[in-house]
Amino acid sequence: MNSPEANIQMVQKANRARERALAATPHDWSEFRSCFDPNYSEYGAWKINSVDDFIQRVEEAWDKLAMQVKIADIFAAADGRVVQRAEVSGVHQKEAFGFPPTGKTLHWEAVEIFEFNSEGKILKMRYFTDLIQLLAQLGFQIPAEHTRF
Amino acid sequence: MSDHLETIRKFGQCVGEKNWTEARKLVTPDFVDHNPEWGVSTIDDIIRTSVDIVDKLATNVTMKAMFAEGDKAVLHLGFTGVHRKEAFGFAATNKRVEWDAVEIYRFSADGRIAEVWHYSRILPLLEQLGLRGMETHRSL
Repeated sequence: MNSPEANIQMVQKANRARERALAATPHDWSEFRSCFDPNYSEYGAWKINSVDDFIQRVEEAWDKLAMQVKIADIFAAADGRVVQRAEVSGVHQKEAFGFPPTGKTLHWEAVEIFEFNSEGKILKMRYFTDLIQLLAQLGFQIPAEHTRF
Repeated sequence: MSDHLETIRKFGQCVGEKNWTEARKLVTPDFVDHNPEWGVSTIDDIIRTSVDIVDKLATNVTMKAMFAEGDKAVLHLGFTGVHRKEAFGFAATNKRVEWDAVEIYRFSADGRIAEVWHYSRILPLLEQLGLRGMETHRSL
């Protein structure tokens, strides 16, 4: 097992690599890819079964929502799993989730739980996000009677 | 089991048994639950919602994963239930429902629960209850 500290560093490396890839033209994902096991898979709101799927999702979020990620918290369990809580912001600059662009500033949060292979690369991720709050900001009208339990 | 996980287990047991006096002792006076989806931010909100959720959705909870480190603990919870009373404005259907959630707990120095961040997959739950119109809004 890799140390919890090493696993945190791998997630932080992936975070930095994502930012660098998005800042470059054209986007260079080689460093980001190097942080992941070839059999990476994700359990979450999106259908992501590979690093390629993940990169495509990030590219789309960048292109359509100008996604910016701020890491609010990161810590590791003794068994090596890493938890990251992210505060995400963006601008609805292109059609997204079926809603035409509004130019609105968006905010949402996500929690990611990472697992690692024996080489310390990211093997799995569980992704949780407040999707309904994001859709509401984009324009999805949830009848008021369905917004309270 | 770590002290923090034991505290969470006790808190869940108190909530399940509606032992609100003991449940309140396990959280700090300034406790905050970051859970706007369920309208929960205080211990009183937790009490109200936990009663409602069992009454309306006959909920069973399964622990999918839990771990603690430092002043934090994380739970991945699976919920199943039956939509037996009006919930989120949807009339009872008696259909089976399921969803999952992650909770991050922060503990005070004296071991009480100070803060919780709760993330439910609430959209799939709303669709199971009867929300329509999502067909064109599933993909980015």
